[in-house]
Amino acid sequence: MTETVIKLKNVNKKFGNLTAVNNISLEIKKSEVIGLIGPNGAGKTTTLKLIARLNRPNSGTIFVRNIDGELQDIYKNRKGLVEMGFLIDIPQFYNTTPYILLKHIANIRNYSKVNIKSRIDELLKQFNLYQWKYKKLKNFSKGMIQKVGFLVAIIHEPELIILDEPQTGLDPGARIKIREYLRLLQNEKKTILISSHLLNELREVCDKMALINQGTLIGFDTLDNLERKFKTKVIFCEILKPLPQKKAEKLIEKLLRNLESYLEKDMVNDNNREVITYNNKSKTFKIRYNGLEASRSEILTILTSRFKSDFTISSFSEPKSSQFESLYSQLLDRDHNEKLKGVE
Amino acid sequence: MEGLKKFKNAVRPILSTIYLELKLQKLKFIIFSSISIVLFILTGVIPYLSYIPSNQATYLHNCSGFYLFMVILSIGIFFSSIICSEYQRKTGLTTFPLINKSQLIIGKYLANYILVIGIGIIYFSFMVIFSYYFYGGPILYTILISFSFLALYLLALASITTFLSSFMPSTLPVFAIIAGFLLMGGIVIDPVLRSLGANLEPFYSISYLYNIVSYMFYPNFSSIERYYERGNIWMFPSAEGAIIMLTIYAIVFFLLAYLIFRRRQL
Repeated sequence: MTETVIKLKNVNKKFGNLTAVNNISLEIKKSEVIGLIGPNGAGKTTTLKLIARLNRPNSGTIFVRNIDGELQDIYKNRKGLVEMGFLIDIPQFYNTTPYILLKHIANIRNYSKVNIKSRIDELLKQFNLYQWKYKKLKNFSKGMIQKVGFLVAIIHEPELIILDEPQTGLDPGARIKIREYLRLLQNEKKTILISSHLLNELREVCDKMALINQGTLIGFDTLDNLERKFKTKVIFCEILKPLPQKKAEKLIEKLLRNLESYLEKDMVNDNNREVITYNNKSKTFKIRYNGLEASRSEILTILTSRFKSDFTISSFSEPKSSQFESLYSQLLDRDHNEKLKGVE
Repeated sequence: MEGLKKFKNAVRPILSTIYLELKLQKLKFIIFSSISIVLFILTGVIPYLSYIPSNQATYLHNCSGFYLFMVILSIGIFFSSIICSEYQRKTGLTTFPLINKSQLIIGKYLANYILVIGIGIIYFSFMVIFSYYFYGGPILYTILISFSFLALYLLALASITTFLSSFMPSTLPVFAIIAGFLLMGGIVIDPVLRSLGANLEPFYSISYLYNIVSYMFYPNFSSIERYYERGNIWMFPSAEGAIIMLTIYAIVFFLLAYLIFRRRQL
């Protein structure tokens, strides 16, 4: 009996010369909620399509747990796998009503006949679609279609739920509803794999994040561990009076010299993104440091002591709401830089 | 009991697919049933108001000849989209991960077959009604045999169309190919083979095989000359030959369609 529900082992997928998925290995345990994040074209949807057997990998193996608790190669044998639900890409449906569609999905997954009607009604009510129960799907808005897509994925109460950008096209209310429902599923010990580029949405519900870029998995861990691992962080230092451009440039050089050992090392020599920048409008220095608590305090001490004559500090702050986005962005940059170094 | 449960679980998705497909194609069915009635009135009623053939079999033979047009239309319309539309409209994104592709193809195939046969039943019912109107009773029993061949013929044609639909990108080329194949196939291939001096019975020709449906009305079917040596022309296949060839077409093309569909990616 294994606790692993999905296991991807060295999975590759190419479309002509384009490598959409590059040697991805990933293991998801029972009851885990995993966020698959990456920019557009990163390979998220292709990865999910491989799990859904909509595409075949060029190499590698995908295992899913079966009802006996063993891992099973889904391309060798599909029978007896744990019940799965999918929302892949932008959902497209036959031109029928939500009721008929959901009933069909429940039937093809052999969901209990007795409970079908009540289950459909319950879900439609929860997602404010009940009054649309017998209306043709061709008349639905994008957001409503997305909600029906989500219902299709969960109607038969699957153990494993795969969701590809479930929040696309949804209004804030519907997003909250989906997030709440995901938490409910989490409490029911369902295993969920969600892809998204809306990082805050994922942070709310995911136990772990799998960061994917250009088909490669560049990080897979809990958010805390990822932040620890990719420890670059940012400090904003706001000063009282704005600085002239030339003086600001000189000060940045001085700051770089004084703070060198506490800054994000990979970025010091990176011309694309400055490790210290100054915004005259907000009168703020943005300093990317190595993320260590000790470095943070040391930077503050140096700024207040050695730069006393250069400027007066009015406040220090860290970007709280976008911290994760910053991490995400840094990971992608890091990956990009490593690739460039490899080419050189 | 375990075996029965497994069987039920395997059949339920197919039944659900049939039900859904029947619902989805309901409007098409109504339209094509109406067209077949109109076609029958134009070809099987109006021309015979002033003159009727000497016997019922010839009347039925003539009426069923025109039905080939409806066969092409209905098979083309109902089966050309059977697989490729799942890819073209991307509805497969929802269904493929959840249903076994064999169950899906069987369900859709059977549903569309029921509809196409339904149109055939309507047309043949009109033939029976007007045959009675023109000739009185009893109605020739051969109409049932002819209809059985029509059912087998539709099965074969449905498999060929499903096969084309399994790899074609969209519905239109499938429809064009199957219509061209039926209307032009015999016209193009037969003269070529004849010019080569071959007097092979054209079992390869799906339009030739249809002749069994219209010739089967004659109670003396088995004694009618099938081959005219003077013009090197084959009129219709033998019952045994038609059964074998249509069954082979139906099974082989359906299996090919399934194998391609199973491997096709979305």
